[in-house]
Amino acid sequence: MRKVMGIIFQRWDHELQIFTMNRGISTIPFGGRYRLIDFALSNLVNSNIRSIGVLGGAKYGSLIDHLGTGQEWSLHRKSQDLAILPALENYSIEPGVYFDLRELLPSKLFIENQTTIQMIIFQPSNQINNLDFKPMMDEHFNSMNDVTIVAGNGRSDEFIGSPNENRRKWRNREILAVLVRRTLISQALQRMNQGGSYDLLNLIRRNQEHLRVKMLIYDGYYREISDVSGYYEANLDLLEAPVRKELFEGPRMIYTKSKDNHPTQYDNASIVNNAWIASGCQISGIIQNSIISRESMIGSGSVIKNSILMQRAHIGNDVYLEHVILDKAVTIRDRTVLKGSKDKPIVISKGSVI
Amino acid sequence: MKKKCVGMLLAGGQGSRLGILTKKVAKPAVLFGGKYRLIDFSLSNCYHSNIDTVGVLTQYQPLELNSYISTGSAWSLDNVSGGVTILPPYQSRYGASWYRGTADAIYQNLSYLQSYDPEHVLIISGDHIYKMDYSEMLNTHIKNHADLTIGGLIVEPEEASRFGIMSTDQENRILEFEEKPENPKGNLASMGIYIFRWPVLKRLLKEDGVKEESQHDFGKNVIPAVLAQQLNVFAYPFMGYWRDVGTIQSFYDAQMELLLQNPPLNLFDKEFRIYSNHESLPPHYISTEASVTDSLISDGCSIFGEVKHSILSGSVVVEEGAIIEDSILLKNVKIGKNARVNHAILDEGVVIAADEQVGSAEQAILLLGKEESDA
Repeated sequence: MRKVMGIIFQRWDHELQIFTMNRGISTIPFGGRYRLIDFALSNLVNSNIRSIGVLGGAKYGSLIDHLGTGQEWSLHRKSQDLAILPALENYSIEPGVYFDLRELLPSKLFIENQTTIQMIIFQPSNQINNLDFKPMMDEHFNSMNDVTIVAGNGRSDEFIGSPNENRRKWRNREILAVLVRRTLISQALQRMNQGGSYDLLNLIRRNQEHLRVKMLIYDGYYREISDVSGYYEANLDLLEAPVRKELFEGPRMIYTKSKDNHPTQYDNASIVNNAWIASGCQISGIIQNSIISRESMIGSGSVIKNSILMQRAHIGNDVYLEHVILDKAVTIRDRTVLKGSKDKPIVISKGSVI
Repeated sequence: MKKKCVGMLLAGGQGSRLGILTKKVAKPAVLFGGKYRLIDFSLSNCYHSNIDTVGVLTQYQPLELNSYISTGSAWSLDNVSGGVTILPPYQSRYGASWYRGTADAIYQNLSYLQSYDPEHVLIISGDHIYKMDYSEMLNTHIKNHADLTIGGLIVEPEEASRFGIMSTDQENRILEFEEKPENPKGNLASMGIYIFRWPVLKRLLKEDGVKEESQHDFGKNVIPAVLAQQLNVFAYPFMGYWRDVGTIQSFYDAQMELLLQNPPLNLFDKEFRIYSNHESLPPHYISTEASVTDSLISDGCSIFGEVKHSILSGSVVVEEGAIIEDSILLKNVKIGKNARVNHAILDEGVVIAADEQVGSAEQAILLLGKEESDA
């Protein structure tokens, strides 16, 4: 049997700082009830990968809280299905780096001890997609690749040739996941003290003449969330039927931590058009083109337009919000008006009272 | 392991008056309020009452119920020292039999109770809608040095003959108990919630078990026997919300109450949450053309039509132009374009074709099951 490990890592989050003061990029709330990491994690689980390491970075409190025992993803911490890997001390993720392998040093044993693992799938925690790794793994093993790169569609489809020639293509492409033979990673970890580049992609690029590297192009929907406007657009993408269908209505579910919420209640004055609304909300007022997360309350006479409300938003009466993102547990007092723009939505940080 | 109080939840009821809703599932597994199953209320009450060991007695159509209860983790009842144990009828060296009545169900599982050797046993059923802290009842039971305490509820005098009616003195000591009396002497009704001292329960059930003429029912046989033996029996009056949803009308009415401005049952109460073991579904989508008012909408629904004063369970689809009014749609119901549903309960998986009309405000509630809609 082929044994595969999944590693979910964090990317640079500077452009998302307003959301990551007290949480890592992985646990930014998304789509009414999810956290960003739910997509990467569900992809691995849905592809029958039962050994998963999650790099939590420095702010991993919310990650531990969110993942719990892994039960919601049918994973169990007891049998080491799911491990939160310790962060490298005094390390900060840099821009432009895909994944710095040094981050795996504190958890070297997690990888070394699992000698039956043949291949590792690296996936960033901030991508919205519904990937089926099964055919990609088949391709990887059947073609006896050392490395299989899963990239977004639209540009050149092969990654074979000299590094110089391909450098530009590399840089221009969003990479969804990288499948690597485990022994390559083990060797890299052993050599790590002897200098050299530690970025996973650089390493592959520099050694590609000795390696069998293939690129697979993914045609489906994907978004990498790396700044506020990308976050805003990706949320609103959920109002598009084809995106909802691909992410949520297929055979592969996106799992998340469940909350025991009541179904959402609408009163006799509510007018709701084109909205994606989670459970536990109490809604009066008008909602248009918006995403409303769990346990939000929207008072009467209020208008919510083109906005993203994270969990437990508390909107008073006669409020007007347009192009606004509210982080968790924000309270908006009666008659407040907030108007951002499509390109620059207003962001209100967690727990604020406006 | 010795326990102070172990719960026994009677979940074998067929609920035949709920018609097709209980054709494939036991009554405690029937969906309520969009996402709950009836048994969620009793199990959540156990959680809030610190009753961490519960035996669930199943018999009729147990499959869905068994997989629903699973490890009990949804109600935090998956602890190491107790947890939920599903107790179906089983075969012993003396033979096998179905549970012959509520008392017999407990009688056949005395060995389960013996393994915990509790001081008290709480007996409840899984088919009522209520929020109750059993620990307060247990404290009263202990304070009274009672052998048996029965949860009691004041009912309308004209309804009293549907219940077991208790007459008490000023200290709530039960003087008389009549099961479904034709001419009730009072209106304090038994809720079917009992706390027994364990040694007393064990003795009573052993006595009842060998009685040929007994129907092995708590209300009909065991309680009268307790009173005949002059034991310490008290009523525990309960003032909170409680609904029996044994008929289609009461099942419908109790849910429509949830749509009131200030519903008598507050399911948004975070201090006393009703837990349930629900599947992971995405949020619901309401389209540009849709309209939703006075309704409860669950996860996974897609609404393109009009929904008025209705309750939709998970993954219901209402297509464009369809109008749903005063209705309860259970899981995975699909309503075709321009169809109309009025004053109806549609069971799980029912499909209404485009332009079809079902139910009417002038008629009794229409209950539609999957087979009937397929035909």
